[in-house]
Amino acid sequence: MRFTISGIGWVTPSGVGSGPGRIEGVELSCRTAAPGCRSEKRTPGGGGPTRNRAHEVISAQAGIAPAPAGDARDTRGAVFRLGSGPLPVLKSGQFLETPHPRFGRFDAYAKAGFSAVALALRSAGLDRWTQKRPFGLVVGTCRGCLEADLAYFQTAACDGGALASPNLFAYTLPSTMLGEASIQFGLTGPSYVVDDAPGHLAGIHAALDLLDWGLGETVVAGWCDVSPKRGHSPFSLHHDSPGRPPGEKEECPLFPREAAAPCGAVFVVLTRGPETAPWQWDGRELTAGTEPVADLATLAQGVVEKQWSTKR
Amino acid sequence: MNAVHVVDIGTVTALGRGVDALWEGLRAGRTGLTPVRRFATDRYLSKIAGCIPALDAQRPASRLDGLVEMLFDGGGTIPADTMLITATTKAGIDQVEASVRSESTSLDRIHGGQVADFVAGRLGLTGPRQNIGAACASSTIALALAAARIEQGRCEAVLVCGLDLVSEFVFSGFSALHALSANACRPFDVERDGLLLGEGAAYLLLMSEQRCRQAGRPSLGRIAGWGIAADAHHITAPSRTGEGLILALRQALDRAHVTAAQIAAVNAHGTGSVYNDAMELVALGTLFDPLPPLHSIKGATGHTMGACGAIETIVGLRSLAAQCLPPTVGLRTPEPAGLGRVSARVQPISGDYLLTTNSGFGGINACLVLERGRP
Repeated sequence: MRFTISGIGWVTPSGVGSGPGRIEGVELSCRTAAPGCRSEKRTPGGGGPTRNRAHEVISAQAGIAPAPAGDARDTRGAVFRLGSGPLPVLKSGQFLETPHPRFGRFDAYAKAGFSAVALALRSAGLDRWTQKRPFGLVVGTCRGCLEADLAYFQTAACDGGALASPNLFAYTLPSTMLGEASIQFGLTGPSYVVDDAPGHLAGIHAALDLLDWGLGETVVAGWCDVSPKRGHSPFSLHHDSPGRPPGEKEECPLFPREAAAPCGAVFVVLTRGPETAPWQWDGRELTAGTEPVADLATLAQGVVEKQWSTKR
Repeated sequence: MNAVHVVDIGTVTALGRGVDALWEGLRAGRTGLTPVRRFATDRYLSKIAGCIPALDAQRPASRLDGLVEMLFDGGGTIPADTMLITATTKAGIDQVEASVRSESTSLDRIHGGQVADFVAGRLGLTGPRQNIGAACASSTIALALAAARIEQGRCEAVLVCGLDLVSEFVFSGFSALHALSANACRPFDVERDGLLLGEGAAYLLLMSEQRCRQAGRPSLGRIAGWGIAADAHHITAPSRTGEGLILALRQALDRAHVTAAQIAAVNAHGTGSVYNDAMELVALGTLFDPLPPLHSIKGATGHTMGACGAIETIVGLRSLAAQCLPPTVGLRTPEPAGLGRVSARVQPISGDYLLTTNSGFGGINACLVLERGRP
C-alpha cells in the first residue's frame, strides 16, 4: 500500500516543531532541552532570529537550515532530535488558536502527545474543521500515563480514598490523550494505544494497517513516552529484586535514574495513496522509495527534510 | 477475503471459571457481585464488585498472574505460531498500588506489553504479539483488529485475550467520578444509578477458514463484521446523540453485509450508568425499528473494563448457538425505549447474527457482528 505523510509534529527534549508544511502565526523554534525553554510568538512570515529563555538563537528562515548529523530542522529552524531529558514547557496557546481549557490538567504524557498531534494536524493544514472527520488516532507507548497513575493513587492511598481526585483519574488511561485530541479536532475514526517497540514505529505500523485494511483513509499516528519528573519521590516506583537483601529496593526499570530512554512525542498524518507516493507499507516493512525505514528518527528526518515528499 | 472463525474460547469471571459457568450463571439470573474483601470500601460510594474470590489473597505478585492461570489452566491447545493480542485497561495496576504504599511487590505487569509477554510465555507462543488499550472497548477493538488481520490474509491464527482486575485504584476512581452505584447494577432500568465493577478474563482463538479446516477445529461462529468510531464529544461522558456508536454500528453492518433486520439480538454495553444506557438506546433506536431483543451481562459479572468485549463476545456466540438471550440481571422496570426488548428473563431469539457493542472513556465505541456457527 502506498501512502502519504502530509504533516509531522514533535515534542522532544530538543524542542517543539512541525513540518513539512508551513505553520502560520506561531514560531515554534526551540532547540534547548533546558527546563523553562519556551517558544515565542512571531508574526506570520516574519523573519529574523527568535530567542528563547535559554538564550538559544535559531535563525528562522525559509528552507532547511543545516543541522547536525542525525538532526533535522523544519522550515523555521526547529530541531528534531530523539533523545532523553526534560521536555520543553508546553502551553496549548503555542499551537492552538484558543488555549485548551483543560490543558493545565493534563499529565506530561497527555501534554506531549496532544501537542504533537496538534502540531502534526496543523502542519498538514487539517487543524481547522467544521464537521467531524473520520480520522483515526493511534499511539505507541511504553510508560504511557504511569506518572498520572502515581499522582492519582497518591490521592487515593490516604484517608481511605476519600480524597481520590476524579480529575487525575480521568488521565490514568493512555487513551485519554487520544480522546482529548479527538474532541479538539473532531476526529471520529478508530482510536487506540499499542505497546511501543524498538524503533518506536509500533503506533505508525498499527495505523498503516488501519489504512491498508480499509478502516480509515487518514490516521494521525505516532509515539509518545515521557520520563517521570525528577525527584518524584516518594512516588518513585521501587520493587523487590532477586538477589537483593530483603527491604532493599531496586529502582523500577521503567524509571531509569539517568532517563536513558528517549522521551517526547512524534506524530505524523498518514493518508492512503496515491499510487505515486514514495512511502510504502507491505504489512511488515515500511519503505521510502526503495529504502527501508526502521525507526522513527529516520522517518521523521525524511519527512521534516522533505526527502520523500510526494512531489519528488 | 478470508472468513474469520472462532475456534476456541475460555473465560473466568465472578460467576466462575469456564464458559459453562458463565453461561449457566447468566441463564439462571445469578450475580457474582458481592461485598469487596480485598480493600476497605468504607469511604467509597459502593461496597460491591464482581471479584473472583480466589484472587483476593494473591500477593505480592500481581493478581493478574492468578487470573491468567485460571483462564488458561486446562484450556485447549493454542498453536505456537499464533499471533497474540492482549487487551487491558490497567494491566497489573495492583503492583503500582503496592509500590506507592511501599509494600513488597514486583513491577513486572504494570503495562500492557509486559502482560502480552507474560501470556505468550505462559502459552509458549512464538508469534508476534501486541497489546491494545482503548478503555472499556479494548478487547472489542482487539477482536476487530484480529479479525481484520485474518480477513486480509495477513495472519492465519490470532489469540485475543482480554483481562482486567478489580483494584482499589480503579474502584476509587469510579467512586470519585460518582459513577458507581451504591446499591445494584441495573442496566436499562429506569432506576439505574451507576455501574459496578467486576474482574475477569477471556480468550478467543480466531482462525482463517483454511487454517480452521487444516487444524480440524470446529467453528463456534464467525466474526462477520466490525466497526470502531469515536464520539469526539467528551472524555468521560458518552455523546447523548450516540453519534460514535451509530457510526460504529453502521460500519459493522456494512462490513458483515447484513441489514439491521437480520440482527437477531444485541449484547449491549449496558453498564447501568444513566448516560451510557440512554446513549445506547438512542443509537440502537436510530438503526433498528423495532429494536431486536437486547441484554446486558454487567448486573451479573460487573463491568470488567478491558475484558468485557471478549467476555461478551463469548456470551454472544453462546446466545446464537442456544438461540436465546440470558436475562439482564438487576433489571426491574425497563426504560420505555427498551420496553419489551430488554428483560429480566431468558428471551428466545431467532436468527444467525448478533451484535455486541462496547464503549469507553475518551468517547470510543466498538462493535462486532457475530454469525452463528454451523456444525
